Amino acid sequence: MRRPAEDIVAVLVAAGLGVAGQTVFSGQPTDIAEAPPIEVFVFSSGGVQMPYMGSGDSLKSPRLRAQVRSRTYLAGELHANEIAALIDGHPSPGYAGWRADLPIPMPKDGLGRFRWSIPILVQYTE
Amino acid sequence: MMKISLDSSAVARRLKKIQSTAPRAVHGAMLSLADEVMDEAQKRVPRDTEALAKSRFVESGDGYVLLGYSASYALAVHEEPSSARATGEAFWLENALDSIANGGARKIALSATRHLMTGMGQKSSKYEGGT
Repeated sequence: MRRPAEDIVAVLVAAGLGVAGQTVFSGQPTDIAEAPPIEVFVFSSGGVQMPYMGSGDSLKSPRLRAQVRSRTYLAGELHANEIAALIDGHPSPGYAGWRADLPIPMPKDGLGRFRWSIPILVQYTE
Repeated sequence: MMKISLDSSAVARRLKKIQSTAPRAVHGAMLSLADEVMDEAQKRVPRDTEALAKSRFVESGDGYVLLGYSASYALAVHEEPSSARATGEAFWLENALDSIANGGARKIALSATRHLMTGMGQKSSKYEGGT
């Protein structure tokens, strides 16, 4: 069984865009004691599956979000754009494809941190 | 002698008629699907007040149908994953689209074919004009 959020986190870490469990997380945003300046949370947001033509497999199209949270606007925006550019079209073994939209600016959180939401769609058969 | 004559003129006339009516039939099918998606989205949209739900819209023009929410904060609410919502859900429009339009191209093709056969198709969305 594939775990797209974990796979995306692994790609971000391999590209030097964070450290797993310290600045890049698989799961919805949570408040962390002594949070780093920039954090990324990758989590599932929905999606569909349908029968895959000509086989007993299903074509699964989960949707995910990568949410970037940053103390400063410029660093966060740059980081969000780098993530979207890396994920969009990334050649990932076992997947039919990864697609990422441009980061969507979100309102600041309760601690005044800037946030961006990056919609991601992946496809695979299983 | 025995002969069979094949005349393609009737087929040509039928094809010409389809050529002129198909775009309208496809457009009607897209409107029908958009209304179904919006019906589902309205069941899922957060309703802290009714303002967001009331900002729904379906617009259509030559070859396109556009649906969404016009409230300035709609996108921010849509993208907020907080599970502490009193009503509705995050990503409601996207989830409605996935729920209703799964296999959307096939649905549009079937609906358009039905419209072509009957000569009747949906001409506008029930949500057009903000109603």
